[in-house]
Amino acid sequence: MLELRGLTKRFGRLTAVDDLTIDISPGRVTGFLGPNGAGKTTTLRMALGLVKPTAGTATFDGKTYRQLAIPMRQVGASLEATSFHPGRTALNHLLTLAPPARVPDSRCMQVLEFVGLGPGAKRRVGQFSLGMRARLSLASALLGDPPTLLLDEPVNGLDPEGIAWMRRMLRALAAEGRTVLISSHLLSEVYQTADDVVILSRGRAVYTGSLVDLESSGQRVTVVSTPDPPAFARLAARLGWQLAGHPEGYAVSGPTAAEIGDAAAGAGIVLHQLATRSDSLETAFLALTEGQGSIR
Amino acid sequence: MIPAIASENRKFFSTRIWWILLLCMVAYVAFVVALIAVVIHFAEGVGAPQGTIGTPYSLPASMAYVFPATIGALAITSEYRHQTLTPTFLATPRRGIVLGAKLIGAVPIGLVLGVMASLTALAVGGGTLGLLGDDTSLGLASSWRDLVLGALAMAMWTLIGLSFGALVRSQVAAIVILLVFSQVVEPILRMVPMGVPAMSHVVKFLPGAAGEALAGGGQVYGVGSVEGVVGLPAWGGALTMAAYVAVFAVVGYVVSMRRDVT
Repeated sequence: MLELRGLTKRFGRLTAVDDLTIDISPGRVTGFLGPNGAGKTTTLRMALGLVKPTAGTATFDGKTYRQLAIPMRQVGASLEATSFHPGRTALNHLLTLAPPARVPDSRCMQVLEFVGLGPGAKRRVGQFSLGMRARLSLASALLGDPPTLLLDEPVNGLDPEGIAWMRRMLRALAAEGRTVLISSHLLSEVYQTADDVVILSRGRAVYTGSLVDLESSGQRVTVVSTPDPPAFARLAARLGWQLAGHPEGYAVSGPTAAEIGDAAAGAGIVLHQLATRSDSLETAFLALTEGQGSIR
Repeated sequence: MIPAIASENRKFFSTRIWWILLLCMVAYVAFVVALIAVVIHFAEGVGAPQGTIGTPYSLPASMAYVFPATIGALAITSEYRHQTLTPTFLATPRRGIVLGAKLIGAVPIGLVLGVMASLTALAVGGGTLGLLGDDTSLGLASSWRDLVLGALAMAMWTLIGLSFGALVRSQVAAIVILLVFSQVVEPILRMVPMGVPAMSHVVKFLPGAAGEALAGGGQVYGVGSVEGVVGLPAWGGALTMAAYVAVFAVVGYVVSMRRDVT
């Protein structure tokens, strides 16, 4: 169980993480979502004692990361796929971590094989592809067999097969009762993996809960094609519908397809397409994080 | 602390830079010692009384200390450069322990470097003097003392480099400063007492002068060459070097190591 309480980080005048209070529960995969610059990585780094919070606390079963007796046995973290010395082999990278993780050296080869890096164990990390670095980063997180995993953009750089493998593995780890938190800036990346999501926008949690609930809260979008777009736009304005541009015409949010069809027929507007889209989850995500650009 | 030291030890030996720098150091010491042995031969040939020129055995700590200093600095600046501080601090979140483990772990490494340098000075220096038919001075206790304390001085330089790296963080900046200071700045400062004798009381505390004092050197840039001015005793040199390590390490910990790792 990871508990964030009022976690806040300011860099000068910029508030990167703003009063975050969240519980991340064991036995589930939690997706930590938000656009780039929303504060995901800063939050994870604060939880891991790498960045000092301006205010608030992050605790694992009541202890801060620095208070953990053998941190790598309690929390496995992979932050980015660049934290390796390029001249060190994959196996040697893990061997440097084995003593403080208090695991036998044999465990290093074991986790490398588990993440599919057995054949590359004696190669220098400088020769690794981004996908192999992602796997090595995961291997470091798993080295201490920890009950909690914090993974920042874990599928970054993985090929489709690797992504499918990562999903299965994260599900399996959560099924064993572990706390699994994965961050991503793409909802589609965690959609098939996460049970819960925390959506971050400008450092604030704008949604915390299950994916199912988020999906049903999403606004309905209906795509409309018409040979007379100006007439349809006037109709939408008169009825107060929200209209957005769409490659096939307009995306209308608010009314049902039946309401749109009836109103168009009443106004004598011909429609060529009237389709309710099932991308309501993505829509909800975009609505929650709307207008947030990257922090520069 | 012991697991953290084991981790540092593995980090050191799992990249190639240590033996590249070790080979460079041995080659450089061999070159300098052979050169000075030849100079001693010809100086005595033109009438300098035997023994007044000195011996080549204390030379590593005078001329080659930049190698252990660089190896020490790399032990911490490469972590900043390759962002490996993140896994390091995840494994050992208490940063004072990380710095302590690096310093303790560097002691045996520095001693090995020092012993290699002294063995090279012994073999090449003694060998060259012997081949030229000169007195190798190996009958003198002071030659052996220089070799042993010279190895200690090189170990101290490893620690100075490491703690300096902890303060500076940037690998390029640390190495450039070490090179410029050791090869240009300190040699110039060491000449100041020739004009202003009173300055020798300051100059003898420069790190290179302290290292030479420990190793029994001093004939190269000459703190002791000004009339009536004595350099530090060996123990004073050792304490001065230890003070540099302590100041750099404490300031480095407070100013650099406690920063956010982003």
